[in-house]
Amino acid sequence: MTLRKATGLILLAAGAWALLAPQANLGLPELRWMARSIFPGEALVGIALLVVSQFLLGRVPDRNVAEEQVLPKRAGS
Amino acid sequence: MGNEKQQANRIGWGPRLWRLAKAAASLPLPVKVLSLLALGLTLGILFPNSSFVRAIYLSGTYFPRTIVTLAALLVFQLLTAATAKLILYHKERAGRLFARILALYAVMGVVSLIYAAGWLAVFSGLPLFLPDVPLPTPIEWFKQIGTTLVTIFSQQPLLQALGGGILAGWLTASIPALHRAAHGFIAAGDLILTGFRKILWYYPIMIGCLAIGIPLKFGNRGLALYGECAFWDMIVICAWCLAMILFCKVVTKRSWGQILAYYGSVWPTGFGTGGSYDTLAVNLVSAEKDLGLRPETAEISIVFGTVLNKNCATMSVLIVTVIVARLLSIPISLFELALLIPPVAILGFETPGIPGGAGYFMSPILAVLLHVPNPALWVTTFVSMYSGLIPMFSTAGNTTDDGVVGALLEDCFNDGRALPSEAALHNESAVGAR
Repeated sequence: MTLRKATGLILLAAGAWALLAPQANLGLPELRWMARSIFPGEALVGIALLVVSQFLLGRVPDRNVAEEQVLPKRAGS
Repeated sequence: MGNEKQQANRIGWGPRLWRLAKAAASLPLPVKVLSLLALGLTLGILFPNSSFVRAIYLSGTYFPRTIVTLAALLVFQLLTAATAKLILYHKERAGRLFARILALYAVMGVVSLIYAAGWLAVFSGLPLFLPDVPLPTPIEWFKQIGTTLVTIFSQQPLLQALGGGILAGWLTASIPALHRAAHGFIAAGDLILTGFRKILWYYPIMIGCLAIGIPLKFGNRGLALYGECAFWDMIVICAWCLAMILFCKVVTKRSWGQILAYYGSVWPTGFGTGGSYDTLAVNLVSAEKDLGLRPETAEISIVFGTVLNKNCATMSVLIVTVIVARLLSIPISLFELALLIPPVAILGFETPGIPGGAGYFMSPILAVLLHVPNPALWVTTFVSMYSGLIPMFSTAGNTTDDGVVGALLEDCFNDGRALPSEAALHNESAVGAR
């Protein structure tokens, strides 16, 4: 695993936590403990972290390969 | 003959039950949903004090509650992916054409919600404003809307996710240096939607479990309100579809025969399947064959509509909101209903096309917007109410509206520009498939 990928995964986890925690009070009772340490604007911080993490983890697919992968075969073809 | 009977009798209960379960699993999804809904309601009526029945009901609440916990993350990922996909795959290829079709669906979404709110004003007898709240002047009214929206967007994580999703999708897809992030979001969004499709088998079971709660918690009043909700939904959506047929005849060049043949084949299919994606093939074929659209127009409007257009589902969401508010004794007025129109219209674009998906994704946000004291109860009640006949009427309306938009596009907004290639459209259909 590269440093870039590891950093991306850590930021992804942190971003997901920051988006989930403020909402945790409303959902599963078993996960309400996540909302104990929330701070104002935490969801916005989570959004920023997720954008950075996807920048580190995502990759632009090769156009031809991508189209081959997503093009469904038409009936009769 | 006698030997065959003896052999049949020798088959134990285990294999018989296994065969029965296999036969039940092969039934169409709407049949399973309606059967388990009826079974759940019956169990709730007959055994309200049974601890076993109560445990079954409780098991059904876990999935919607999990979705509520994950809602902000899911809404953000899905909306970012949808926005990025739209800009990356279509902006440059079809420019104005896609802007037009997007604008048509957006306008239809808002008009549908205003139309549904109008019906609700007639049906529900909701007051214009809540009692003990003084009537505001027009300036105060706009200020009140603005303040409410600013407060909500600055303090509510779900709505921050909603706004942030659109912004992040637009930014990452528009700035070439950030395309990596856009593709990351698209891949994550596709992963989430694949996950949803894989757990679709659980949906009828969950609806059956949650249906127990309606008579269990709300007695006959809950049952009566579900019936009322389905009845309102039927009237609102059927009247909308009739209006769309007339609109199509008056505004476009389609003949009565073409319009009725299209509605005759697509409406019952949408109603029967209860899912836009299950209706996609029939809708595409019928839009070309019956409605007489050019293949490229049909593919654009139907594929785009299947992905984006949930206008009838948003109408149903508004109706279910009023019914659930009444059931849980949450005060609501037409003013609150009007405030719900913009967020519900936006949510309509990112609702996943799974049956009842609008219920899962919109109910937590509606709970926030309406300041519901017990959001968990709101969500479970909402999901159980938004089931059975209601998503079926919604899908029938959503899918046929796609054809009307196609006719409108071809007859009224076609300036002779080149349409995008078929491959590009199939690319969209596969990438956007939910």
